Amino acid sequence: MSTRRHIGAVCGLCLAAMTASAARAEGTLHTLRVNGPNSLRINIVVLSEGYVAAEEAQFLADATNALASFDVTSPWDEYQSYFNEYAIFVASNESGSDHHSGEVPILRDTYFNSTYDSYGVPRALTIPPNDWDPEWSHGDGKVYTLLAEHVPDYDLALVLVNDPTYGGTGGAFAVVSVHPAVPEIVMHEFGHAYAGLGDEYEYWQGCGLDADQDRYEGDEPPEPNLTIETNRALVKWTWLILGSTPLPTTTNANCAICDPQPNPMPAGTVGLYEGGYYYHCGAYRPVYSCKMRWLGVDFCPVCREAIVRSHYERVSPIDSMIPVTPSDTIGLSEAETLRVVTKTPMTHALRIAWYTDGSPFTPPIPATAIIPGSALGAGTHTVKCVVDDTTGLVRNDPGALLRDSAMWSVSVQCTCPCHGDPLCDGMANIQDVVKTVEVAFRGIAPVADPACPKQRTDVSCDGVTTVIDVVKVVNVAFRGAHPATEYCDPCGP
Amino acid sequence: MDITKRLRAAILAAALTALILGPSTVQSENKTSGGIAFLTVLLTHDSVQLTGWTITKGTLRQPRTPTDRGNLEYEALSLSGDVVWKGSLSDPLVRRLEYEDPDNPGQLKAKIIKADTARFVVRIPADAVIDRITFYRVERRSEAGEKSAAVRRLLGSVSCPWREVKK
Repeated sequence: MSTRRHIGAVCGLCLAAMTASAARAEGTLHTLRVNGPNSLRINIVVLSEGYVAAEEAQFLADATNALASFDVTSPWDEYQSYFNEYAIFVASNESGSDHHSGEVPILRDTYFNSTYDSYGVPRALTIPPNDWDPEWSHGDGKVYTLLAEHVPDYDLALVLVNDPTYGGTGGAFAVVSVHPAVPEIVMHEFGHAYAGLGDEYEYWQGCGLDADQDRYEGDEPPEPNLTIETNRALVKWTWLILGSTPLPTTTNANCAICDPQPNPMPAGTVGLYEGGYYYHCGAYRPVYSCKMRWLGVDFCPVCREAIVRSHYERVSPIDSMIPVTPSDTIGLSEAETLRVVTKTPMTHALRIAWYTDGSPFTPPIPATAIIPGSALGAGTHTVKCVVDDTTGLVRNDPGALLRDSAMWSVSVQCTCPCHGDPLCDGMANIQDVVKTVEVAFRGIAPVADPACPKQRTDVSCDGVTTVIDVVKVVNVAFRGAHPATEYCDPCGP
Repeated sequence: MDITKRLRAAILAAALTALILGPSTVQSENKTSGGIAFLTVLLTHDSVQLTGWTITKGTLRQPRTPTDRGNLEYEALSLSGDVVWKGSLSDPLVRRLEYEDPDNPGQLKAKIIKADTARFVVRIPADAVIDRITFYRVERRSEAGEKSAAVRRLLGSVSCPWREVKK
């Protein structure tokens, strides 16, 4: 290693150390709700901003409230158990946030240096970098440092600002105030960040305020809830459109303005409504009003479907398979117990289907299969458990995201060391002939081997011990016949 | 002692202090087979530069299906060029501020803020086989102003920092 490279390497380590050390001792992690290991759940983190040390309990209450809206909003509510929720408290020197727009600016000394009035928008609540403080390390950088320290496997993060004034913005993580109406915009922003949903409103600054939003001329939007396609068969939410719904469902007669017409269809009807993706014409949204267009209304069926699919992009419907090892060996007289632990939506159960070597079977307890080795037979078998979320919230799942499976290879061993040798002394002789006769003619109970499917005296493998078996044992004991030619294969079919 | 010497001494002292008091989450060389790497990247219109990195404990969950939602994509590549990890994010140079219209409750408004430079963080597994991280900008035809399929333009690569340390 050259000296220069060595210095570079050491400095690389220094940089990493310094990068992470800024908030090492800062921040207290609180668990708001845990439904499973982070690796198996979607992890949401709320970080405190503008709370002084004495307001930690208030922050936890506010964080809980901010997330509570998810428990009562479809489709998030159905999948509450798929989420873990954490809160990271870090104290600010002062409560609140900066407000620059008043006659006398209000400036607060807060941990992330949050501010309203970002980029000239009073309600745009941001943390640096922004037009008031361009330094990344004062805002976003601190968020990442705290997340790396406390919940590095987070999925969604939210900075909750202790200020009653309505405000917030989205982005890599949302920044929102504690105003009671804020959860609505949180859900809208999570629709972007989590499910890749697009904005369904048809302007930037507002109807009549934009000069160049007449017609969208671009490519098909990648967002699942916006399209330029009007061919019924090719619309990306075609399975949600009734055959009786006209397409386009609405058309904007004057692309210079937002379409003023009221909804001509019953509320919630899925179709193609012109206007969306910030344009008056050329782009279509799935319903007249959805939470991706207006706050205070429900997510539309198309957005709900995208959100549920997003759950399953991240986590499987199966939490674990037991045994964890995919292969096991049992004896014929033993039983293999296989189990899957599935996730549990709030109001419906996941469908569980079992297959042995491709043939379906239904165990009494859906998640647990107890399979006798004798039922499988000697040899190696494949046992598969398929778990499906058949929720009505998703009508189309082309990537089979709502399905996962667990598979085991089960080897069933057959051992019959005493077959044709009922006394099991290693050879067929007169005593074995006597025993076979007793079983065949004198009502003596047959002798079974635990790991063998056939009785010791049933050397013809026909299920009973008869004179045929006596003759065969005699042949082997006294007439020099070889067991392989005289006896059946006790492990055979 | 002139200013340069003082500066050097200060940097050396800071470096040593950071090494001694550094966080437990930062792992040294040869200990990168597990963990989550947070890479801080400085982006301009046509370049990327690694400005910081941290490795924490934990495991980054592999998405069950690749999602190409953002228009900035990144791939962590092995020495042989195999893609070890990939992800995407919205272009950090374009910030969309969304807010509710105070005069029309429920109605959303948006404002686009464009920047010439931006920092962002990507997370990748702290995998010892990763050699470099390559960044691409995905340009759709609407943005490119021409009728063609989306194209992926190479922005640049950064060497895997823990590999650099290991050398």
